[in-house]
Amino acid sequence: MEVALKIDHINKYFGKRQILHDISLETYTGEVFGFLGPNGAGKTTTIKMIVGMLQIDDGDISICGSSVTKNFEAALSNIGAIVENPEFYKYMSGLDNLKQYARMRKGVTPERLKEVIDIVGLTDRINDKVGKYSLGMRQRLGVAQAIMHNPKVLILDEPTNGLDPAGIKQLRDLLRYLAHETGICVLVSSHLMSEMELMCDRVGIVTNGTLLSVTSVEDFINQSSDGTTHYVLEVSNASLASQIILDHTPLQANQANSIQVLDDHHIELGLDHSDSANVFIKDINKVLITNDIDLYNVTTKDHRNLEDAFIELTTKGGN
Amino acid sequence: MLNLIKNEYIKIFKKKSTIIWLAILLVISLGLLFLSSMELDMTEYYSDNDYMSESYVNDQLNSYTTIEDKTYPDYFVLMKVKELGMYNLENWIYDELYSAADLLSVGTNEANRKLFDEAAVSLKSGNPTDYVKVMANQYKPNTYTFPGSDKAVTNPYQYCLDQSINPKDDPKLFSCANNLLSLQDQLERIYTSTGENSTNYKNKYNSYLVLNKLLDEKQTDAIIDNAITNNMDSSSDMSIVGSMGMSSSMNLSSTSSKFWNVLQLSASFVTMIQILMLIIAGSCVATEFSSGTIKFLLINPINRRKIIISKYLMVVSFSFFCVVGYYIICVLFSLILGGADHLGASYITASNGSVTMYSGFLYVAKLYLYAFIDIICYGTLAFALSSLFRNSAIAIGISIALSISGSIITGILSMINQDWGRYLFFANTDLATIQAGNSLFPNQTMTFAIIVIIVHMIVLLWTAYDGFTRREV
Repeated sequence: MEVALKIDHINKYFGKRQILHDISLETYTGEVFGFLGPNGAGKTTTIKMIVGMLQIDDGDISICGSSVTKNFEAALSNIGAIVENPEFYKYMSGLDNLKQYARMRKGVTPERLKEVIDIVGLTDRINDKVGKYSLGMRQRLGVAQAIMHNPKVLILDEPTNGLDPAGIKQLRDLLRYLAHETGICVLVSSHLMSEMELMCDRVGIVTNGTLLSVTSVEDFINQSSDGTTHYVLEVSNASLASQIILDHTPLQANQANSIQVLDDHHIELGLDHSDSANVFIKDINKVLITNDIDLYNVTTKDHRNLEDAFIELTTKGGN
Repeated sequence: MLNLIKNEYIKIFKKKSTIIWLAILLVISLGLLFLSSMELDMTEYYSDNDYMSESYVNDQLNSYTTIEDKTYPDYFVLMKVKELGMYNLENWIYDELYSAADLLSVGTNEANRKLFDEAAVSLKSGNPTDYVKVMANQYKPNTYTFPGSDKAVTNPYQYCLDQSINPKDDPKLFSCANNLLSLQDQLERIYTSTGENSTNYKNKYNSYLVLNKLLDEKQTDAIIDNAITNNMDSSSDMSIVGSMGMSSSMNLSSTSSKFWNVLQLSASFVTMIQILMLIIAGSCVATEFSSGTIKFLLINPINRRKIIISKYLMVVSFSFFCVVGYYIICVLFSLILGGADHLGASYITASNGSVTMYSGFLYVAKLYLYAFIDIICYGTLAFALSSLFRNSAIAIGISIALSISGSIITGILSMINQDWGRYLFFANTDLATIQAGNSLFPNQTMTFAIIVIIVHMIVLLWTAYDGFTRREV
């Protein structure tokens, strides 16, 4: 796992207004990185600066070690991207459009083009004029354009726009395949939280031009606002189990912040670190069984999803 | 870079409208060329089988009734034909008979009539060299004093004898030699009255140089520059050019060859390509922005400057290919309309006392080159506007408006004596008229025009380059 994209303390001003405030970020090969934020947060601006469409006022961005400002051609040869809606020359066929870009890049043979067209599933419509394509087909052609030269970094701005559920799943599978099997770094920006939850490995949250956090998806979801994770245990005897847990000294060392009996069969536990949760659960199992209490189920309370976590974080941090 | 240019060409040609425009322009320009060429048809000289038959001569003689009538040279010619029985001979014989009668002033005295008799006898023999010998002996050589007159022809018949020119085989050259004398006489007159520094003298001297050279090279059909023929405005001069053949004056140089008339005329249609080039140049940058394809274009491992340069090179090279292609098509078209007529003809002109002469094809190519420069100038303007405003309607609209109204504006400015107008771009793009000395502002030389053009082009190219490479998208 190496650094694919490095954003180093970049600022951006449009006239007097500062759009981006000191953003720094690193993404790695082999991961799907989600770039999340409300409208106007600066996601598309950042992406445009990565690909050289906007000027970088302060700081630098480098792709696989090549700086976008100092070594533009080398940096861009490692990037494939779709920014906003994919637009093509409508009077030319899909294949002709792809050939235009193939000619500008190194090492794209006709066989590779055919391969890429197969991957995105446009083989039977590739010779039709793009003007006749549906939005989903244009999206897929955009992906083909982005991956044809085997870039190390793939950047997609709202890629699921306009795709039907089957298309969305196809894209998700493709992106995860590209990242995990071929080692590409995929950077996706989107509003579609449910999709991001399924697709991404790590997420970076940005609001009002500031990067609020960069964590794995799991961590992000499981962190509640007070920093603890709540677990609900389904047991055969709740009050008894609660007693046992409290008495058990090693458990206290785990800094169980709170324990609460919900009803006859459910206890709620609040824990600080989710890493140690597995260890804790293993311990509890042993203790309860030794004391003849059955443990049926461990779930996180009010299974939060990415959307909840996101809204919570951004409304708190964004005001 | 070549791949980028190839990309641009593909983008242009995949659009059906480009090909349609090319076809329309070609059809219109060739159609107009064809229609204009119909006016250029020379009236053929139909020989009259009855000319100078016995009955014809007798008929003609009947019209000479008074004593005065019988002093005209024509009368003597007809009488001589009758006397010597020179009926139904070749036309050149009669032409020379008339010519000799005129030259020898046959009506004045008996001595002249004897000389005329000698000439007529030599003509009857049908051997043109004999005739020329006779006339050479009788001709009183002229003397001239104008500068360079040591090279002047003093005895046209002797000259023709020396050069083996005779009225039967080289009628045009023969009459040219005679007409050269007349031109030399005019030149001498002007010299003695106004000296060598007057414009009148200089113009006439240029005409003299041209004719002298043509005679020297034995080129009977050359494309004589308008500047020369424009200065041959008296009727005697016209007959001089008449020996070289004269076409209708549609701003054409004089030639009797239909092929060359059509080919020269085609040069004025080359600028029709300008419309297509303005559209292409004005839209090639702007439509990338308006259609959004600029995004994918820029997310490529290619520096922006290479992209804008490749677009410009496409515009320039496409104009070039169109002009060259049109040249070839027009040569073929002229061959079809006019036949392979005097293809070896040269273009000739003189200025400041020296003659320039080169192949007619080169001359027409030069005219095409001037049109090409004109097209490139406006194309660059459209291109710069396209990059600056990122809007093809503005770019195309403004450039078309300027290319049409440019010459009108220049004309108005020169009429109201606003001399600064000479520094404007569109006052200088039409190099053809400037070289012909017909520029709207006085003292507008080629060098000046070229400098103005270069300065403007640098500004335009910089605008296009900067507007694309530095700005945000």
